[in-house]
Amino acid sequence: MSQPLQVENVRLVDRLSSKKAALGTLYLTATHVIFVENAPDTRKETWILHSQISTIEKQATTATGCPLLIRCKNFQLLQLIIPQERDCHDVYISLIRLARPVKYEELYCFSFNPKLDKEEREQGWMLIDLSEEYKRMGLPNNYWQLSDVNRDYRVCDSYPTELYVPKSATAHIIVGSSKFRSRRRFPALSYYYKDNHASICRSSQPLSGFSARCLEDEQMLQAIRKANPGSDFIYVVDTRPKLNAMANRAAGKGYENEDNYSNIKFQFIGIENIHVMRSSLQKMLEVCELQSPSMSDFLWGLENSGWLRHIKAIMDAGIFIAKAVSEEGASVLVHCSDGWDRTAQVCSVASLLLDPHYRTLKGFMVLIEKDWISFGHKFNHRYGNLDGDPKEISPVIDQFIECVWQLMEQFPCAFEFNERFLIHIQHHVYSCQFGNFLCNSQKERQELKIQERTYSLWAHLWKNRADYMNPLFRADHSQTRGTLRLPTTPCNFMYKFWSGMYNRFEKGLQPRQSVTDYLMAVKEETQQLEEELEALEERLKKIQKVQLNHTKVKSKPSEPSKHSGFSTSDNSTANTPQDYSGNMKSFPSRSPSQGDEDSALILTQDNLKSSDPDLSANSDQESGVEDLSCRSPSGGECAPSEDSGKDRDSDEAVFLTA
Amino acid sequence: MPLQRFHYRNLLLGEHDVPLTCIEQIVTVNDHKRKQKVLGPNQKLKFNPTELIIYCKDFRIVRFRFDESGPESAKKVCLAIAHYSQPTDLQLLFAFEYVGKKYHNSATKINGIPSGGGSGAVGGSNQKTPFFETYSDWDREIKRTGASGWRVCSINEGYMISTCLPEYFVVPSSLADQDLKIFSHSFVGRRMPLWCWSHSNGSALVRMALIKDVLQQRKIDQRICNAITKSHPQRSDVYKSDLDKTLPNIQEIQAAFVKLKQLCVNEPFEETEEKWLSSLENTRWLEYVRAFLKHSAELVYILESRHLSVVLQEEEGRDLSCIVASLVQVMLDPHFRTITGFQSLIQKEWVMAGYQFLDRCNHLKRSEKESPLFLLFLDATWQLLEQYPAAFEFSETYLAVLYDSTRISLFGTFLFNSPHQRVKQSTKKSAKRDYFSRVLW
Repeated sequence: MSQPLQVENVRLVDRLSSKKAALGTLYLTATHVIFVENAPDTRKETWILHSQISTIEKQATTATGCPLLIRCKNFQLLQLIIPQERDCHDVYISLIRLARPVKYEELYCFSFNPKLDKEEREQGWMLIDLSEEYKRMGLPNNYWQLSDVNRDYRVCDSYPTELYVPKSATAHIIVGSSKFRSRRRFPALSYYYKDNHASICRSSQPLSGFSARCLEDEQMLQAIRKANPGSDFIYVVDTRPKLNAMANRAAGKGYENEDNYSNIKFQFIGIENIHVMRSSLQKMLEVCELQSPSMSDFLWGLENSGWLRHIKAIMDAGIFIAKAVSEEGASVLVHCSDGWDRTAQVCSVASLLLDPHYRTLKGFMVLIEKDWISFGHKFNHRYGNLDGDPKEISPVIDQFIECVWQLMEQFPCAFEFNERFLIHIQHHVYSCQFGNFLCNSQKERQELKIQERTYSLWAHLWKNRADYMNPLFRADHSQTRGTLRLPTTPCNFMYKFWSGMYNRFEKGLQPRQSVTDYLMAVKEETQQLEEELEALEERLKKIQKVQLNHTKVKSKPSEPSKHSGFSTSDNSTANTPQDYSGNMKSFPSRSPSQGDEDSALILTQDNLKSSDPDLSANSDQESGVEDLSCRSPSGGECAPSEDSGKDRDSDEAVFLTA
Repeated sequence: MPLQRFHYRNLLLGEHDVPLTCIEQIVTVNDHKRKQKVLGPNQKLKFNPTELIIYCKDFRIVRFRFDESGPESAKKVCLAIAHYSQPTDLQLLFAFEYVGKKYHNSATKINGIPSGGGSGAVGGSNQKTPFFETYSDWDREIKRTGASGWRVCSINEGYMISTCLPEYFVVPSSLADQDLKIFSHSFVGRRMPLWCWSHSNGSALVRMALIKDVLQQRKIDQRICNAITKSHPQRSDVYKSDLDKTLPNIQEIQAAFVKLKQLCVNEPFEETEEKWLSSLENTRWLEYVRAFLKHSAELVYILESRHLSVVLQEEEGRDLSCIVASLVQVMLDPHFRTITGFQSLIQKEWVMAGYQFLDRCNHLKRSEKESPLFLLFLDATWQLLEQYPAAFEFSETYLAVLYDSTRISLFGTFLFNSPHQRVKQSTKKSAKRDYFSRVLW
């Protein structure tokens, strides 16, 4: 791949109106597919990372050329028409190879260089610290301790080395229990609820078969129960459908027998397996891809895909656990089969419901670091980073991310971050641009020396956090503090189709304006005005002081200087409310003295656009500030601002591609 | 509904208040005898009810238990509610009885200018909502849109030509009053072409009823179209859109609405949750909302990009036309996305254009004419609001309040079938109050 492949006169088809196609040049580099439009005024570029490519389909040649369909893991769909069959074949063959690397070293993160020095990179990796997180939970304490039983991954190679276990669980018990669990994933702490000592623990299924028992495993569960003095039982939640769990017994696996374990309450909460989820997503994406679906095609297709039903199942399990912990004060042990897919989903949803910290920007990174990365969610297999078994691929973390979005829709003030944050995380799970999500376990990442050779996504997101803030976030809102309470009774309207994710590259299907961006702009503006007010007040004070001195010196009031001093302040106070009420109509009508702040505002807008070149392509919305400036709600009635002519079609005519 | 949101309360009503006009159906139940009866206006009740269930038009179900009340008085209450909630005469509606001091300010309002009103508080604009009851309101609208070649016509002063048209409306300048008078006989309900709005490129939006006179049809149609062409600065052609042929009819819309209500209100969630999307699809409500939006968007394209004037044709020109004419204007003119503008649009294309609020809202419970076209329009506007959240001065709540207002009957705005009926009813001797005093805006 030393020489980039280049094909001219390629057409990029607009999926919504097949008549519109952009003519341009297609480039294949070592890391990206790049399409550059010929149109001289825009030269619009579309960049696709090879790691984002999910499938490549060569369709039958037509009179106009040879169509090539590229489906991406971030739900982008690219339809290219290449004039020559031979070129199309070359592109196809190259892409197949490029999209399916066989070695980690081929992935983008090993060549990606954000121009940070070594120290900055190291600091980036230190941003999220799990030992800090366990401290925040209130650990270690009288009931829980850090165990070194898994030092050097001696007990379980898919677990982290640092784990919290009940104090009464000896190394003997842990090792014994691990031998009775699939892939030796013994029960360990995921979340500790310090208000009432209840905890969420996670493991894999027990190797119980039809009748097998393990004393140490029974003791392990007993120890978890004892670590919570407030409750005399623990819940054991098996997140598989009962039928699946029973089938596992035939293979010597299965689930806990209530008779063998003292004081457990066993509960099935059926979430389907990765294969069902994979095909469900497939069905839903087929609906998303329909050219011009009728209302019935869309709604029936969406329902038949079962996707929202699966989302609900995950949410229900999370809600059950959060309630058990916060309301019943009972600890919960969660498992599925291996305890790295459904268990990760459910534990993290429950933690998110229970703890407002996980609803902040940093807290959410910690949550993913804890329940997904450290506990050995198989990122490489699930998201097909390296060429592998297609049956291992499944949208497990995508579903978790959607659960968070569904919660954000229900509790718009409870999350510090916005939808864009979720979308960017989803993008980077697949992009392989950062090292965080590489490999299948902590152990593998350590062997690859990921932290020395790649950069951390969390530092990148944190640096650009201004883009990810939810302007509606209210940390002190009564519903934001503490547990998010969701109704357990059935409800028709709760789970919605997330077009912001699955159709996010279909500009025509997205809302044309973003409330979040507007609010963010208003918030920024308000802050600046407040700062300005403060500065002016300070100046006023100074002037008054000077004047006072002046008066003292002269020992006689000096009328003109006093007057001018006050007139400055008068102007400023008179200006502020006027600007304020005019905010909605004409933003930039501000005093020239603010030049500096103005450019600062523009800078942040720039950041917003450039922080993620791969992602910016999907945003067709006008940037908040710019658009507010040309909004004149009462038509010709209010005084038009200088640039009221801009964005005419977006504001004057509300078009629909219904 | 999201669990965390910014709640607005309808300030006109308490949480458990149900206006009589908002009652859809009254069901009385007796647990012991296992009996249940839907109560009509002049019916008898043979058992003492233990429970009263009121199904409301605003999608609520209110249930009252009579476990601790006297059986006779419970029965009395039920019969009284049944009786008063289903009046037979317009004059019996609550609005005619109600005297709200707050709203009693007739002197200024008779001239079509409300004092105070709900408008204008936002954005510091103190504009009044024009009612389009006067010559000058229409004249101002012509000037606002920059329409040349159009004039205000006053041949219907005193409702001399038609009782379902406003007294003043706008017609092509080249059509003389005398001709219009003659043509008017050929139109259903004498509803001749009404100008709605003009694009800045000169293309006009016009609505009219069908020409029933078959012999004259071609000729009159030709004359009208020529006149509209003449009023276009570029002399562009006229694009005719037959709404009866392209859009669902009012019965279909009503049927969809009944199903939607059934789904949202009446059925237990346990049964609908799994099949929610397909059940929703089954009502066809969303499909219809989409059909109206899609058709309006096509007309927007014709007006704006093809520079053609558009004529909306419909049997009587006072049902589907109201929705389409309004949506096209909301899409094209930012003025109509302000509160004042939106209200003036409703005045212009619904109230004054003779949308039959009385029949379509079914205030008098003669169900065969009921159809929720106004709600469909509000729903379509809400869909636009979802797409362009920053383009509208008002919120979702405002739209909901407008819908509630059709059910409260405190105001005269959404109570009548035509402006003429409003005038007639409020000057009747039996009418105790002057209705102009209570407009919603």
